[in-house]
Amino acid sequence: MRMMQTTQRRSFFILLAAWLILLVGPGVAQGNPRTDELKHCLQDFDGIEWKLPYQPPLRIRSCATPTINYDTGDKASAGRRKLELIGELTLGDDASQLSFDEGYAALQLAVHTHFAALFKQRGYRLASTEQGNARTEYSAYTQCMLRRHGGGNCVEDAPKAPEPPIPYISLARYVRETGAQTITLIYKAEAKNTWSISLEGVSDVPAGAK
Amino acid sequence: MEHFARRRVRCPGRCEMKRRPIVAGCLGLAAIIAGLFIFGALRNQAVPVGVVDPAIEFYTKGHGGGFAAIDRWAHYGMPADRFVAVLQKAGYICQPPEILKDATEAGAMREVPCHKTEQWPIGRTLAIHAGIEPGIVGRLATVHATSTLVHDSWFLAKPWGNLLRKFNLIEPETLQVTGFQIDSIDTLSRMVADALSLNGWGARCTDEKLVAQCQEMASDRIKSGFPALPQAPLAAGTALEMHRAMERIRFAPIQKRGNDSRPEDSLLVRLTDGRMWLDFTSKDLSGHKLTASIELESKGGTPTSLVTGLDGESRTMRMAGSPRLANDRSVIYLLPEAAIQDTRYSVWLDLPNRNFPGTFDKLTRSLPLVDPAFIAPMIKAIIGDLQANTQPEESLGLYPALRQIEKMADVIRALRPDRLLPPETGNRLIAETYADDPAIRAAWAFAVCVSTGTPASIDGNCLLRFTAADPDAAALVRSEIAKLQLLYADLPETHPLRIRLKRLDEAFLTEHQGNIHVAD
Repeated sequence: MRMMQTTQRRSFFILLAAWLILLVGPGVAQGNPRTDELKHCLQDFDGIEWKLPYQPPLRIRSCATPTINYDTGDKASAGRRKLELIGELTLGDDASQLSFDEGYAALQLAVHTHFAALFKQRGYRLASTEQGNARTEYSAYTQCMLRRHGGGNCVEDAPKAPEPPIPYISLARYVRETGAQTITLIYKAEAKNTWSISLEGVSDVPAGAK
Repeated sequence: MEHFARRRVRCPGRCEMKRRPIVAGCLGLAAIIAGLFIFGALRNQAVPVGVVDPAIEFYTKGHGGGFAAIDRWAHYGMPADRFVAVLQKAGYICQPPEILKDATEAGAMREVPCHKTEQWPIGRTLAIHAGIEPGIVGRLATVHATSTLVHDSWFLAKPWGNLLRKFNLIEPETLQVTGFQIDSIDTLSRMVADALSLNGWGARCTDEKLVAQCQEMASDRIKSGFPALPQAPLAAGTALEMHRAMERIRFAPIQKRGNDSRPEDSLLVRLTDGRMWLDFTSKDLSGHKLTASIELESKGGTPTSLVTGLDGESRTMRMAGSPRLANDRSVIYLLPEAAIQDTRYSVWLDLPNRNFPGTFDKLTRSLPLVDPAFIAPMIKAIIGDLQANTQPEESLGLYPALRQIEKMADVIRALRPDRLLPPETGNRLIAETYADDPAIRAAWAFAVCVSTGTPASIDGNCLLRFTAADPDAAALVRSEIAKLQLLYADLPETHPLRIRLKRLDEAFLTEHQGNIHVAD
């Protein structure tokens, strides 16, 4: 008798819970579909807790997993994930004292520092880096052409010693080992104002299903 | 049997011959009388189809006939050309109203005379004199009709005419046409509500293509007049559609624009106790003065209530009008200009769009011209919109709070709040409106105390007042700065981000005086 009562009570609560889910569920699902899509995409990046930098202002250009393609035509293949970022080339008024090239290197440094902290937080270890050079050196010929808008007779000067580079990290490889599995993360400064973060070797089985 | 035989004997066959003419005469007379009554009943009683809103027929049902049933369809404000066309169709000869080239030619009331000769059951001349109000179109204002017997000097003509009039078989000698009279606040309210309703006759059945679909609606209106007032707020169109809807029921705006160089959509509104109204007036052929006022809220210029008035009595109804929307479906705001008099022009302003900096320029140009009472609510609306209209990254909280505070501050700064509101008013508005949102309060402080540009400067005293007045918002900023300083601790000290964070940290933590100029 007591068992029956307990079962009935449990059924009642299950029913109540189901009703609540029905009532609340659509409200949750009624959010912006793009936002929901991005949210689900970012949640499938090996548990990295994404945050975007304070400066420069970046936004997500595309996000791809094997199941979701946010603002991109293709989904990622099995075990892979890819996030593309795009942003403004500015660090605010406080960078106004720097030359364009120095400012660009500072900007790249800020972006990498920000994401490196996120990767480190998730247990990724820096494996290797590649450097880029922020210095934009124009030859005398190019400078002449630029000044005359391509209309003058510009003669190539004799080559002179190059200025020292203004380095920044253009590519960084990170790894994370989980048992026998190794996940590789590649952070890459792509074009002037775009970045990509891609993962390889990620398990496509949802964490809860393992 | 004997009795019958005796009668037959008394009255031979000639007797029946004598009775026949009497019976025939009686039948003939009865037929004439019946014919006259049928004639009287049918005599121009029907309202010509399509002349008026069928609801008007309900209210003029008991009105007498004659004169082309004018008392059943004539109403104040009827266009003069339509009035004449109806009478011409009924056989009247009218002197058409003079067509004015422009409104300035309009002067005194014009008269349009019409006449017609009837022969049966008695010869008479019917004359209708219509008073037309000045204006380009010319609107019916008064109507008077007379019926004169053609041969009243003839023997029996006058008594015969009087007899016919007594039995209502021909029109009366004179008729002061009242037509569709609006003699109760209920009728007036129902008529105005129907005119403004999105489901009303005017909205659905004035288009000729839709008339076929409106037959059922028409028969309902003939049976019971204007629809009953809805219990729910009246679903209506936008503020810009109100004039047209009221014009359909011959209500003219009290506040007339005249010749001005304002944009086409600039509404002339009455401002009373911070509320915007569109006022309309009309009358009927009996001289009842009618008024209707529509309240507009600033957001979308949305009509929110309707007040009708008749002979000192008034009734208020709630309206659920439609907001005016921009092409991107965002709501446009209606704001009255600053002026001494109650009647003012109004301006339509879009909420600023972060992707179109020009929208900020327009706001900063236009807002100082707006009535001060409407500036604070507009700023509140702008901030509310900026909060609601976020990118997916913002919705998911991917950006640091400090970045969002500064971004919001950029928007507020672009509005030049110092030019729009006295500092105390602005601070109070934000503190009261966003009591539960320290991020917006902090953004306001950033906008007011931190200027952008080269060199950027922070008004230390301003921030000091802010931290003292709003310790919660100040604590939020401090905690965000601390988090970011930790995140960017690996950057060189000379890195612009480190410099910026250090500068903000000092501004929010140190009790300094005067302006701190930044020369990094």
